[in-house]
Amino acid sequence: MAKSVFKGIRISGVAGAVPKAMVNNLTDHRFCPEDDRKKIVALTKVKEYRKASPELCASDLCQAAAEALFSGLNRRPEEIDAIVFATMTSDYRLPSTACLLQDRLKCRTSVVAYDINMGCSGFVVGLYNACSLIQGAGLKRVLLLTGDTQTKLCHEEDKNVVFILGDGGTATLVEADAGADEIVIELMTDGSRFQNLYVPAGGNRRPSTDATREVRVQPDGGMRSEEHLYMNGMEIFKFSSSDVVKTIAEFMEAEKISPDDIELLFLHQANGFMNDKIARKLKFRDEKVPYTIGFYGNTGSASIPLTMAHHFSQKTSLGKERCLVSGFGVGLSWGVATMVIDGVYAPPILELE
Amino acid sequence: MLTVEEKIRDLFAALLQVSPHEVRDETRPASLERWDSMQHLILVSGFEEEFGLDIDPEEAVEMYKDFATFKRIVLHHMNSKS
Repeated sequence: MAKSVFKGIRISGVAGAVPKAMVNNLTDHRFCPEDDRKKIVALTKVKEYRKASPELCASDLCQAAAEALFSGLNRRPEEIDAIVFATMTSDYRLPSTACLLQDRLKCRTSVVAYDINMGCSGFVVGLYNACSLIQGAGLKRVLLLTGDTQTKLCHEEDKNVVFILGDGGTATLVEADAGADEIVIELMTDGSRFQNLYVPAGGNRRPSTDATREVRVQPDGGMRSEEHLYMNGMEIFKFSSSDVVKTIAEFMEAEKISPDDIELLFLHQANGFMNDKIARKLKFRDEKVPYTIGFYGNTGSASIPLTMAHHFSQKTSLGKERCLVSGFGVGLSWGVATMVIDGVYAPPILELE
Repeated sequence: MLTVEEKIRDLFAALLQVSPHEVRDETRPASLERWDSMQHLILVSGFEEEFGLDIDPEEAVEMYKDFATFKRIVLHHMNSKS
C-alpha cells in the first residue's frame, strides 16, 4: 500500500488561472440538440467552462498562478528548491515543461524540475512528490504546478467529453514547517484499465498515420479520431463510484476519521452527478463539499487546487481546516490525502487571454 | 390505467426521446442508438427525480445491461419505498 505520512510540511499558498474564453454548454455545442444540451447540463452541472486559445498552454496558466503566489506570499523565485509539474498537456513532447518553467519563473538552475504525466490524480500524486522531496530529500520549498488544456485533446463534436472538460492551471507552494500537522497520502494504480480513458494513437505505441487522424463516428457514437481523447463513460463512472469510494472509505477508517472530523472534502471535479454520488456515499453534507464544476468544468490535474483556490479566496477569515482530498482518473490512477489547511494564501482566480 | 411497468417503460422512452414501442425487455444499449453512457446517467437521474429514488452507483452501472435489468432495479427501489 503506497500510503505515507509526512510531517513538518504545510501548504502555504494555492493559486489558479483559467483562460478568459468561455464555452457555454447551453448555447454552444449546436451539433447536439437543445433538449439534450439542457439534460446534460442538468446532469453534469457543468454550465460553462474555459477553453484555451491555440497559443495558450497549461504551463502559461501555471506560470501566471505561480507568479501570483510569489507576489502574494512575498517569496522570491530563487527560494524555490523544486518544480513539480503534473500535466497531460506539456508544451513539447520533450523536454519536461518543468525545465522551461525553471527559466520562465526565473528560478535557480540548481532547482529540481520534472513533469509528472498524470491527469485527474495529478494533484495528489504531485503532492506526494512534493512532500517526498521535502521529507526525504531535505528540500525546503517545492512549487507544485498542476494544469491541463484538455479541450485540445477532444474532438469538438464528441459529446462524451466536450460538455465536461475544461482548461485550467494552478500553483501550490509546499513548504517545510516544523509546526505543521501531518499530511497523509495514499496512492493507487490499476493500469489494466488504462483503455477506459486514453488517447489511443499518436504516441510511440501507435504512431500517427492518416488512418489514426481520420475523424469519424466511433462505435460508442462519439465523433473523433483515434488521436483524440476517448472516455468509456460507464467504466469511469463505475471506477469512480466504486474503487475510489472504497479507497476513501478505507483510508478514513484506517486514519480513524469520520465526516464529522473533516471540514472540507475536495474531490476531483469529475462531473456533478458523479461527485454528488461519491459525497453521498461517503456521508458528507453538501456544505462540506466545494464545487467549481459548474463554471470551470473538469479541469483534469488542476481541478482540486483550482477548487481550493476558489474556495479559500472567497473566505474573509481563514482558520485551521482539516481537509480530505481525492483525485482519480486517467491511468487508472487515484489517490486520497488528508491535511490541515492553516491560513493558506489564495488570491482570486486569474484569467488569461 | 397504466401499470407500473408501463409507466417505467414510458418514462424511459420519453427521457431517451424514442417511441415506447422501441423499448422491450431485451433492449440493450447496443441495440438502441440513443441509449449511450451519457443518456444512461440522464435516465438514472430522471428516474431518481420522478420517483424520489436514490439509486446506488453500482446499481446504476448494472442497469446499463438491458431494459429488463433497468426495470427490475427501478421496481425494487419503488417497492422498498412503499
